[in-house]
Amino acid sequence: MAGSSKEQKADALRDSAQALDSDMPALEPEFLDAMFSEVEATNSRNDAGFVGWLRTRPSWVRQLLLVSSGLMMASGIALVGVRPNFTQLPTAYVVASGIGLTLAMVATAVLALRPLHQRALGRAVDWGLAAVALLVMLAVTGFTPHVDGPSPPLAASVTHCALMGTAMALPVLLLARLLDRGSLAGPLMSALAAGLTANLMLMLRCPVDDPAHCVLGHFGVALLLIGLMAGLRRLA
Amino acid sequence: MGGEPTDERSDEALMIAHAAGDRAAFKALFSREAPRLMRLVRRHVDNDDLARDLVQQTFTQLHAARHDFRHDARLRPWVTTIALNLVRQHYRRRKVRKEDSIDEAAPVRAADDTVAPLERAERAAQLRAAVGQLPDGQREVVVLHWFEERSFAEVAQLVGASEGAVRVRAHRAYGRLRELLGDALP
Repeated sequence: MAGSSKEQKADALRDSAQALDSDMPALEPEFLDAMFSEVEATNSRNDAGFVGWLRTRPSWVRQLLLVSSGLMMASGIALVGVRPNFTQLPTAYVVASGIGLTLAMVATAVLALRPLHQRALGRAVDWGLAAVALLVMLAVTGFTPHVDGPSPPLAASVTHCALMGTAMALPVLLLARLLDRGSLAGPLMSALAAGLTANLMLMLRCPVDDPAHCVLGHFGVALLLIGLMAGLRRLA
Repeated sequence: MGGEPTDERSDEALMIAHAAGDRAAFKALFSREAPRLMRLVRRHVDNDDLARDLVQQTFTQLHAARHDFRHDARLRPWVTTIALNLVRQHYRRRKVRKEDSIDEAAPVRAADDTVAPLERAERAAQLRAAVGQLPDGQREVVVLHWFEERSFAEVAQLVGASEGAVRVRAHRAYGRLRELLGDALP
């Protein structure tokens, strides 16, 4: 009896599931043909031009390209010239900040271009990584060691660094969005990767050691970019 | 798509041929996989046009990712993961835009409702609306385990979680569905 009841329940469950297909449109050949034609038209549009070519590169190539561009921009600071008081910074701070910002940048850049055929990592992972990336930037800027350096007015210096940082971050953000095929956490992770690159560059370049300046003018760039992406997503 | 000869090649061989520029291979893949994906996606969303759109996006993504396909990979889990991620993305975006809530789309019968036995289509609408109210992780598990009749081990592979975690999600999801559907759930 018990077995029979179990079978009846299984049948009823199966019947309920099949009910979901009862109002499905008939998948006639003409219907599928029309669907396929639209897919082909979209594919032709998406494949056009250099950006289309770039987007269809294997994911590891796109991720490598984004990470390299961020690292190259940061390395470019060495060519332009690091901050005059760079050698006064404690080695531990420079090493920890450099490694922390770089690792977080690599992780967010990889996630920004994670392809959709890979299993979603879940919101907890996305938000967890975002929190870690923000904490790294906050720690690097909030615990800036005291060194000999200029003490410009806060508002002017914050505006200057925020503008410079945004200008440095925008190429990375733009590249991340160009390379993205529509990953789940793409906009947030792109903003973070660009913000981390900007923070790395500002840490190497900006001589001001006031933590208030660094938090507002450097860390603020990442928040600005996240706000920008959130705004664009709402408008889309 | 109707009177064309059937392509004997495997899904994987078709995908590799498509990556090499064989357009007929992509069409063969579409005719093979699109009906299955339509049923899968339609069980997640409450709208035919949306299901069609998501399936089309799945194939657009498959095309864009053709150079990512490894020769030792299997295509069906690949394309199913794309479809499931697009459904997930749809629900995430819908949460950002509050205007088209599931509640407005199709009201769910309360547990103590004593309406006469439901027609199949009506039951389908209720079931779909109730499933639509589940969190992402639970909805995926219910659709794959109950509607697609996949084992917990298979579901775990597809959603990228441990089998234990999938069982917990299923337990919670069925509990929630019982609350929402009451005696409409067998």
